Amino acid sequence: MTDASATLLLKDVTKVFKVRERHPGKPFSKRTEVVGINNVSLRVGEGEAVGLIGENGSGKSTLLKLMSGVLAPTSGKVMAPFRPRLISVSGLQLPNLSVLENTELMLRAHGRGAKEARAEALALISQAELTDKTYLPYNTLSTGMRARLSFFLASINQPEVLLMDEMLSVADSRFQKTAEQALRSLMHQAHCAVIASHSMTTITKNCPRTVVMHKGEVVFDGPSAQAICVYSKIKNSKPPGGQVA
Amino acid sequence: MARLKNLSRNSPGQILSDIWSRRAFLSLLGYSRVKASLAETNAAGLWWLLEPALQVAVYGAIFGLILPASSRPDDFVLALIIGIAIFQTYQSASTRGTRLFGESRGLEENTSISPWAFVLSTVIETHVKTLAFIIIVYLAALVLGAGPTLWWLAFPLVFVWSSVFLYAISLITASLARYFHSFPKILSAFNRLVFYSSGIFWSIEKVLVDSPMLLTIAQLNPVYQLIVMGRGLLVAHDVDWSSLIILNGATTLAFLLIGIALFGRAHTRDHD
Repeated sequence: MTDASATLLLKDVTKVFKVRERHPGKPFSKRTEVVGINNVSLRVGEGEAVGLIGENGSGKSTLLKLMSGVLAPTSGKVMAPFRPRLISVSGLQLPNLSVLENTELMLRAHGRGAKEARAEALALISQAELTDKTYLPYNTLSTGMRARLSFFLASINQPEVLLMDEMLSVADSRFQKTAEQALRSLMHQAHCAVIASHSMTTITKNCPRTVVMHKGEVVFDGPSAQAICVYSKIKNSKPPGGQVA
Repeated sequence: MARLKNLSRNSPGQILSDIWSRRAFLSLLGYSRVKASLAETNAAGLWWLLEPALQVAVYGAIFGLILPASSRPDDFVLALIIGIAIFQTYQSASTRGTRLFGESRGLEENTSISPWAFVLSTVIETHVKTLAFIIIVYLAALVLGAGPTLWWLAFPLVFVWSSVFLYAISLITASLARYFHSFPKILSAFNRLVFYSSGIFWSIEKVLVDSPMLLTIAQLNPVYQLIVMGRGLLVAHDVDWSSLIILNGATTLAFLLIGIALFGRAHTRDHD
């Protein structure tokens, strides 16, 4: 595939985080660098749905943030014809305000007018089966409930490039079925999609191609069935409580 | 298929167009943040007015008692309230700026709104809080017998005029908080310095009359300049408006350029 035919293109992308180490008993923290993503190149073509799997800390979320433009790479380039939209549970912001007020606010962020935002917010809350929570503070919702609401909020404006991070894994199994259908519809309409998940079912059902991340690097990029085998090997090679052998 | 664009680079035109297209949402976000900060109190609307009123009452009582009349500005009570109101807008914009990146991260991810645009919502949030101070200033002026004049209508324009300065301050504090984790601690001490050096409860011209150099430095402080503007409309009308506007415009521009330079680098810095 050439660069011109790509809908999302990553060229030699590296992300190094400058963080501070804090040791118990030491009065000062120490600057250190952590490599989040190491020299990743990836092309996602028109109409493609790509899965992203890997252990916790392997760099999936960092890669999605780089793809969305929220994080800037330390070196390399991330290119897309449209600004990709990252769909995650962290969108809503004001925990003291009600579920309705937060939902309305997000709808306004997506360009809705005041009147249509109210009507649409009520419909979305009902769709997420949270009608009894409508006027309660947003911080009374569980993580799963927030995921349900965020998922339906994410589907209101069709993203041209869809990026999704661990959205379905926090929800209960009944909701997962509803969400799977909505996800397929979103993916069908998007120019391309990248989905990070720990659920191999979500990956195999939706993504013919999967990228396996390990310690910030792409260790496999190909058919999903093979990717899952590679991922299983990585998991199994890790001694309990230790590092990968 | 549209042409590929580098996602980590946004042109100033794209940023301005993003801010303009999201202006309704950014205003609502600023207003909602104030509402959220009061949501856990009883009678939230009342506290929006009561909190600044208590602040003014406490400062008025303390400085009214301890300051000698010779160092006070003319029309002390009203001048003090105007000073506190304008200082609070600066303080609110500067402290909210330090939390900008942390608070807007989730929304930035989900909506692709530029962090430059979120700075505007902190200015709007500041203005929503300021509105309570404007009401208090008008009420105090009426109680103190300063009858309404046409100049009163122009008083809110000082806050509108200060928006660019507040935007610049938020850009600077957001950036410095990104670079230096201890910055919010330093900022609270620095803001005390600004508070005591902006002529809120003492007259800079009277106290520094024998130190022309210090007087010139104090007059370059944009918070002081805004306070003089506010007082010029409600209390003392002998202000040289053209020089004041030129001076404040120039200092605001300098702050804005520093803010743009710092924020341009800071917003692409790591989330650590």
